[in-house]
Amino acid sequence: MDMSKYRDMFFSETREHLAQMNQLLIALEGNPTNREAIDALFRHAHSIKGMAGSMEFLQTQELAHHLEELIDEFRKSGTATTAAIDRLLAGSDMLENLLQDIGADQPERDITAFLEETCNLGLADTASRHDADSGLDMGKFLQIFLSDGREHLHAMSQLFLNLEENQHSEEIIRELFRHAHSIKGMAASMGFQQTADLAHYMEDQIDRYRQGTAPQEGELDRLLAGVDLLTGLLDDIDEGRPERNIGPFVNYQPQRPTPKPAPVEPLPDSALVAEPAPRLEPMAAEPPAEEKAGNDSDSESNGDILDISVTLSSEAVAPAARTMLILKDLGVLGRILSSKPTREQIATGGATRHLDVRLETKIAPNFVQERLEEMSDIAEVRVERSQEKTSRFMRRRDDLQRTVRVRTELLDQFINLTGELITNRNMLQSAWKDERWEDLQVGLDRLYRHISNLHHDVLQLRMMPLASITGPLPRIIRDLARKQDKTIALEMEGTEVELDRAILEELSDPLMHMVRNAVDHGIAKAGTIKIRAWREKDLVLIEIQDDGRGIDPAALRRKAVDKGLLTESQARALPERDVLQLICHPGFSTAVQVTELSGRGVGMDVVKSAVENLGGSLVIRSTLGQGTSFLLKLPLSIAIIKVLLVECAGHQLGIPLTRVQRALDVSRKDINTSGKQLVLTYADEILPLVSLRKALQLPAAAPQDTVPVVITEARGRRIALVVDRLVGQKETFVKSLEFPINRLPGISGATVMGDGNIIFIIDPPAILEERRGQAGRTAAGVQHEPA
Amino acid sequence: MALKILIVDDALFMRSMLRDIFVKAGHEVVGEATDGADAVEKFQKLGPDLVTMDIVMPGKNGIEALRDIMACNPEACVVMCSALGQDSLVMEAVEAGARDFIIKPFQEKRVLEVISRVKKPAVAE
Repeated sequence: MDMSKYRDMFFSETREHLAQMNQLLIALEGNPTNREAIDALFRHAHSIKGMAGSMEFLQTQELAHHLEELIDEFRKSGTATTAAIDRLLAGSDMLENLLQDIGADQPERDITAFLEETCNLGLADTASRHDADSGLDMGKFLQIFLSDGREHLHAMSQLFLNLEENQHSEEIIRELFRHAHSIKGMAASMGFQQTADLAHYMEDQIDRYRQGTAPQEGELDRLLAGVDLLTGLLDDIDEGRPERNIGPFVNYQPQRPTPKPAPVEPLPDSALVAEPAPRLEPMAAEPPAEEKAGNDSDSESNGDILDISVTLSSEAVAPAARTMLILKDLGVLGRILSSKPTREQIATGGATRHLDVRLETKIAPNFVQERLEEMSDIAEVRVERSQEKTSRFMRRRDDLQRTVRVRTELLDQFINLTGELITNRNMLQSAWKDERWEDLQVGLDRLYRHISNLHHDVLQLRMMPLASITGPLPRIIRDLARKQDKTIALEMEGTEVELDRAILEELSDPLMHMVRNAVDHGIAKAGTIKIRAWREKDLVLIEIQDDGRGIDPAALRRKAVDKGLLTESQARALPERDVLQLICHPGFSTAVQVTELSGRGVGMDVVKSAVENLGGSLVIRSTLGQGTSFLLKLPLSIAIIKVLLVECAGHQLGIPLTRVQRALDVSRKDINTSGKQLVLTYADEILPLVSLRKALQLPAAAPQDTVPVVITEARGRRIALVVDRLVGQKETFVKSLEFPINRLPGISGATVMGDGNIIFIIDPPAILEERRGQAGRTAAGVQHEPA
Repeated sequence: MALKILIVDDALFMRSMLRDIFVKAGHEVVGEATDGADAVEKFQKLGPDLVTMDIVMPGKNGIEALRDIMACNPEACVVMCSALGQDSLVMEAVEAGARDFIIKPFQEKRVLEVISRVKKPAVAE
């Protein structure tokens, strides 16, 4: 938007406001409790603030805001103090000065000194007073600070990428500046000095672009590194660590133009993505001093997590100091995620002879072990790889949980609904008292509706757009592609589609993995990755498609045979759709993907099971030479799902509809035998019959003329699951199960019916998997015809 | 590898002991200092690879001297020497940046172990 035409208006209006403010201030000196004057004063300051903000005169905006706050004090206390009036008059002068700066096309002067002076005069705004007594307030703000901060950083990341394409876009530069400015403000007010300083540094750099300097080669990379460093700082704050030192980053002078990364053959996954690119090497060359170590390179997680346990010898002298030294040393080797006792406890507490540390590091465990054992007074050292995943997206998970962005209209709806419920309750109460049964009935109907709406609205709260997990993808793909010297374009469509947050959390890593696959294996040199999301009825579909090499089904068949998973003839007979699913078989892939993103051994098998655990399914399609597509079908919400109710040996069970391909009664005539296996001919396919009774170890039933079956997928193929009766469909709220029931394989939850009955929801693949172990020569669960 | 070492202690007795230990092991003692101020000055002048620093000394004590040295050069390698029972001082020193500490009376083997450990190059990533 062209703001220049508003310039004249800005000046004249602001000067008007200033003139009025001066008059009002003088009037207030004579009559300090004049309510109207105080309100008017506030309005003027507020208006100036608004205009200055729109015009992006940030110093002016800030000063106006400051004055606004001072005036607000009057509003609260009811009276204007002389000292404050003086200050406001001075502030008004300062505003005039700023206007002159702007009018002369000069940068606004810095008002920090003015603000500080106000604090020194004891007119400090309420904010600093709050600091003193509120441990609690700050805690609340901390969460908001962290989640807002992270949002700003995500936005900045994307904006820098856009800036790369479009170097002269004023709008992008302005937005970047705003984000950096916000972070600086928040960090400064929370007292996070390193973060504030770094944000300020970034702001300065961006400001150079605002003034017209074009970004030099490598500068944007550096700024992206700055974003990473800010992310790392937020992580430090989140984990209660002292902020890492930004000195090395800020002081680093580029000596030579950053060289392009050498083209590399498929990187062994141990060469982690997050390795510092050449731009950062000079930093790593400095021998890392203690706390700086975790600083260089990245905010993406770094290698493995090790659980380290150190015991000092009983004769150890100054054990606390020794423990502190160990902690410091470990801090050099990697990043300390947690320690017991904590650093503070060691510094202040008594002697401790034992230290447990969780360390994130790229360094091999035995190296760490050796280093520790070399220290004096060590009795025992144990270093083990932790089971935890190191994904930074785990942290994102926590983000997703702690604060939620909610549309205000939703909140309004809640308020309305509450009102309605209260009215409703009153109505029910009086109808009951007066024994007006018809009215009671009407009231209950209404209540039913309200509850339905409430339920629906609450579920809406849990919905978040896919963009909340696809956000980091452009940056990740860019970095990966550059590393491998490939040119990869990313197109995303439909990321505003909303999904339940729990689903998004679970999808985050699998999504990353599939994208990585596309980059590493799918695309040879150049190509496009398309991520598309859309809704169909009560499903959300997400497709990850690349136009690369494609998957060779013949190669997969061969591999399956080589690995002993299938016999030659089985491999030949396998329909193509199922062949592609082979890559999801655990142990199929030879490349053990140790990606820093998801820890060890994330393969397509983990992706598939993650998707299925959510009640969804994964469809893989590929054409050799043209590309591959992974299609995820997910239910809208894992909380409420539609189930097919079936009866089995007197028990009612639910099967999630997403698992049900078809439910029908078949006539015994359509059932044949193939060897010892009963099979059903259905739509040109021959499906084995599997008895649910048998799978659940319930006694067999007498055969009927019509056999109800549910066609579903289990053990990698379609099967016909035989039940006693098809009862119907129902939309239910799934309750997850607690220990020990949740240990039962194949039972994924339970639901409570209107009549209070509990219905277990089963997961056919898992139930039938269980039977596999008991298969003798016959396929498990096979129903034999009575002789 | 042979190191250039600066020994700081107000007692001649202690300095001599350490000197003998170091020289015997093939290191070079580039200087000795008797108090904190002297230590900082000699550190700047002589640029040793390693400093052994007594904690309790008249005038400027070892921890203050440590701080001054770390301010000059954050990569400085300083090992504190302490008598028994000064745990909190040792902790203070460690927090201020001391790389390790040795307890008096000195044991030759221990001293040399600590020296060689702290001067191992930082992890090559």
